[in-house]
Amino acid sequence: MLLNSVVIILREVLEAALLISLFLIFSHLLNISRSWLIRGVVLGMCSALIYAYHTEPISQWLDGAGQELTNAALELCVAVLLLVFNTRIIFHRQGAKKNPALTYSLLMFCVILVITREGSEMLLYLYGFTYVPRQFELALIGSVIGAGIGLSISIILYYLLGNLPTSLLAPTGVVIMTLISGGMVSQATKEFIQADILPSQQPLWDSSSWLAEDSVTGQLLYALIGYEATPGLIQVLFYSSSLIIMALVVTVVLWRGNATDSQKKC
Amino acid sequence: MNLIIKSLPDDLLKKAFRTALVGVSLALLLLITATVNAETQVMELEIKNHLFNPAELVIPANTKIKLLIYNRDPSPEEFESYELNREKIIIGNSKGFIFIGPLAPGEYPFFGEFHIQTALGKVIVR
Repeated sequence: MLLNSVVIILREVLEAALLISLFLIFSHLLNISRSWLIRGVVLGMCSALIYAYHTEPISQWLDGAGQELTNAALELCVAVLLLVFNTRIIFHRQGAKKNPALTYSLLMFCVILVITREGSEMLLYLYGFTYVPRQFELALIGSVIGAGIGLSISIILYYLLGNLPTSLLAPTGVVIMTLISGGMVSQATKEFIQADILPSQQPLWDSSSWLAEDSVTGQLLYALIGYEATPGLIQVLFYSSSLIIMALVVTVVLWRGNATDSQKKC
Repeated sequence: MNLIIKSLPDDLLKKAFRTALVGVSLALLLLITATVNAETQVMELEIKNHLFNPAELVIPANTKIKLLIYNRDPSPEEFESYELNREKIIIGNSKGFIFIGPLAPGEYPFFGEFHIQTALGKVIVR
């Protein structure tokens, strides 16, 4: 009982916590105030509460596909925001002064969206135990431990990445954020398949014997790069297209930056 | 020369974006019309006292199934399966559905994430 809570909450917390530690590193690099964290978390918890409270009517939307489409929309928004954030990091590296207020709200909205989805699930999980008082306490203790482990892992990531030299940090961050946004797109694709908006297919491969999705490493890779043991063709296609789009955008931004640089020199 | 370089990506980007948008929407439309035409079999699954009933769901191979899940408990449950790649919250005393299949013959375990000790089951594809 206690252990289950640890695992469930760890899974939910991990994704948001990893993203937040990356954002913290980069807001330091981009000289942006870190107060988006508090605002994002508080507003995110509020909207998670609203989402959790209205899960039933939301599920009934659009002929019963409301939950899938809402989650997919949240995931796709995060993917797009990460794409924009990546271009901000590159602009900054090129020395261009881009609106810091926009980057600030971008980070805040990203945190709100991620916490809305993960937080509502946690709240519903805990709410289920209010029917059995003694278990609720155990579930709560387990949740605190799970959240603690999730936060610890993200703190480790924070210091690991934070100690990289600045020249390495930006490319590493861009790559990790690209992979996370690919994972978001892959999750959204899964929602569309579940709601039968995209067709379900036989898995393209099965790597579950090699690395199970429910193992600790599997969960960590799921949060970081959207690892799936048995993905379908569409999921793989959408995942890789999102990576290609991100790579294209990054290339264009870099290319134009260089063109402007050489123009200035002339 | 630099002016040309600078103006090129903008045009290219717009064109590429437009083509990509048309391509993606066409592909989605094709996929949606293809799935709408298929006749879908409906099967039911019940959650009661944090147990799945039936705990073993036998479905035919290579067939799409609409799985209606009733949660008869007051507490919420999350239907989840790594093998099926499915995850859906069903609030207490309500119902929801997910689509599964077409699947290859085999066993696909699923569980209720919120009551993982008791809420266990599997889809058997024959």
